[in-house]
Amino acid sequence: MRVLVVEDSEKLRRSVMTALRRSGYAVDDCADGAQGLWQAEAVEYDVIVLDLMLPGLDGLSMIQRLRSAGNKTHILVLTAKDSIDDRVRGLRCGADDYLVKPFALEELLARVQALARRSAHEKSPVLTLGNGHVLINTAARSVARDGRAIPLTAREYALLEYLALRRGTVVSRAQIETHIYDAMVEPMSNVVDSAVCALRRKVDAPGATSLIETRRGMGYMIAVDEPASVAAST
Amino acid sequence: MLPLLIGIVVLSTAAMTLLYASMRRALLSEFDDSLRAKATGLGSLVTLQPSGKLEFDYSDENYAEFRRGKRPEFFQIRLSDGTTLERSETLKRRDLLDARTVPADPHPLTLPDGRAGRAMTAMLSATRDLDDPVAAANAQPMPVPTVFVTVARETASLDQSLSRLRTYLILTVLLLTAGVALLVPAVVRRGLRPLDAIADHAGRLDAGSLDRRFPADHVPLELAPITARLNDLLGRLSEAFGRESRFTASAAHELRTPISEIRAVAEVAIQWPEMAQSQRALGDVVEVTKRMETLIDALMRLARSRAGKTIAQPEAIDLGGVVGQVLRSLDGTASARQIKVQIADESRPAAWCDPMIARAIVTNLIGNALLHAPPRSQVLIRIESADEGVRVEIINDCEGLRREDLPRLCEPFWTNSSSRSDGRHGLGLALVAEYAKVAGARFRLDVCEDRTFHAVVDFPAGSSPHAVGQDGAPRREAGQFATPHPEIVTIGADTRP
Repeated sequence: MRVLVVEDSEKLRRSVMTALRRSGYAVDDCADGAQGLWQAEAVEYDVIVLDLMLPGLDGLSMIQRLRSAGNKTHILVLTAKDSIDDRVRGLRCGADDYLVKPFALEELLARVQALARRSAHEKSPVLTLGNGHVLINTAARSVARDGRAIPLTAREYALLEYLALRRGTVVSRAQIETHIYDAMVEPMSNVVDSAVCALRRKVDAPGATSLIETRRGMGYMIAVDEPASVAAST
Repeated sequence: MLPLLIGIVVLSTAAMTLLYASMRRALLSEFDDSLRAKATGLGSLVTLQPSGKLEFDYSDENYAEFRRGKRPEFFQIRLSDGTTLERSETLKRRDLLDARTVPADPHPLTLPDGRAGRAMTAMLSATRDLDDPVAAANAQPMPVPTVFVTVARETASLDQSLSRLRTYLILTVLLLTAGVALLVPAVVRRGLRPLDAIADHAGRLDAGSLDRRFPADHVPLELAPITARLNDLLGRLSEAFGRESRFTASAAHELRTPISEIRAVAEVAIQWPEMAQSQRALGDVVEVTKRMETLIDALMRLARSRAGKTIAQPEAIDLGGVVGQVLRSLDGTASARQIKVQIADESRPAAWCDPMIARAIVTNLIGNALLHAPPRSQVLIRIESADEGVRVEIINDCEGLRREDLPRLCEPFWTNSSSRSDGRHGLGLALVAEYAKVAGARFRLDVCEDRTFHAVVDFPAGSSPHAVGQDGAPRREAGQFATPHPEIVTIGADTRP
């Protein structure tokens, strides 16, 4: 998942970015509204964390411009303005969520995660894959196969979650690069393949069919579980 | 209510007593006049005959009241020696009064028939009988005798009238008292209804409902000014509450960002406690804390000044020196933004101001100019005589500031930028405005058409030994006014932008 943080307070921006990166998100940042707008239009983000009181272009104007341009990225407004009027104005402008400063990082991460799930049209925090053998808990950011926890790095988890949220859909390498790797990382041509390979080694059961299918020339895909197996697993 | 009733009873009783006394006196006077008229009439009937004999020419037909009847009246005519010349038939040969005591004034008495009455005695001279001219011509001159005519009549009707009057007056007092007791509370209640409405409205008011006003419609004329004043007061209170509320909200809002910074930095450091991160986090916390300290310090100074607790100790100061010191302290800001500062320092008297306040004013204004002027632009500081004072004018280019913003510039927390990350809190000009009041200085701001922002403070002038030369003319002291600084170009008094 790729997140854009637009916040003029350098310390707050740095902390939020650290928290998001450590949680497996690819994060880009900028300190003013005009640059934030440019970046949001240039890159397809899953979530934008946006301060309202920004130099250059204020957050509300940025939201309005993005929405009028048809951009549907989920936006979490992060601001010190706490009145009901401010919240209503922000949400009516097109924001998807509103978090008032000061806030707990945990809450910010939970809200970003909820917005990311929403962007994948997924409501449940528990995703069932591999005919019920693999469970991903997006709230706890944990993965288990047949009841046994699988330790994953933040980026491996992000890759698995990204594919799982789009299960049944082929995800291209470019999409993975865009959403899993931020501007700080220069992905080499085989970075995605290597990451998928490492993920398969951890997630797949020995001798079993790989959870992540390779579609040559197109990308990767996780198959949708059969309804019966989903019912059995739940 | 009881004191009112007692007062009404006392006053009405006194008034009725006076009225009764007056009426009684009038009735008695009328009664006595009637007696006097009858006595005079009877006296006129006594004639002195030419023979020297007194005659009483009396006819019962004319004086029927002196005959026997249900309510007879009485008269008796005596001579000066006490002998009775004539008496009314009703007296039946009795005397009306003791011959020895014949009071002149009207007086009460008990009539011969036992009734209460009143008598009046008139002293009259008998009239001469001149009907016979021959006898009158031959008559010997003789003295005209004096006769005493006493007339009496019963006073029952008078007493009845007075008794009726007394009854009416007592009833009037009682009715008046009862009327007051019944009507006054109702009238007072009705009269106080608008006041009750005002009291009810006032009772429902609290800090959250100051926008509600006392109803001005259907208010009695007497209460209209009070309602208007109360509404004015509510307006002022509402404005003050609103201002304080906005101030508190703004202060809280200003503190939210640094608190979030500290919290986020601390949470990241706790959750991912690598050594390097933690050290940096601590540095961040210290820096944010310093910023919060600056904000809180400014807030405290503003609050203190608004509460009238900033006490000025004015003395003669050289504003050029103050400006120089401030510029040296703001060197970093000017250098970082590559802003050139020019000083136009003219010959002028010393200013009369508390040095700390003058420094705070100048620091805020120059700091503001250095922060808001575009990078690589120029800030001009003029120090000159003006309006019997000393003027400090700071001029800088302004971007995005409009004349419409001027009324709000001195509001706490107002800035033309929505960002709060540059360390600006929007308290500087509010502080300058407050300090100018304390220092007795005039402070004004202007945005000119050439997109320059002017901050002008006119300090009062004060006597200063180094501002005035020995010849009395103002003189400049180069050491006092020069502000040599690597980043600052100091230009002479003749140099104008």
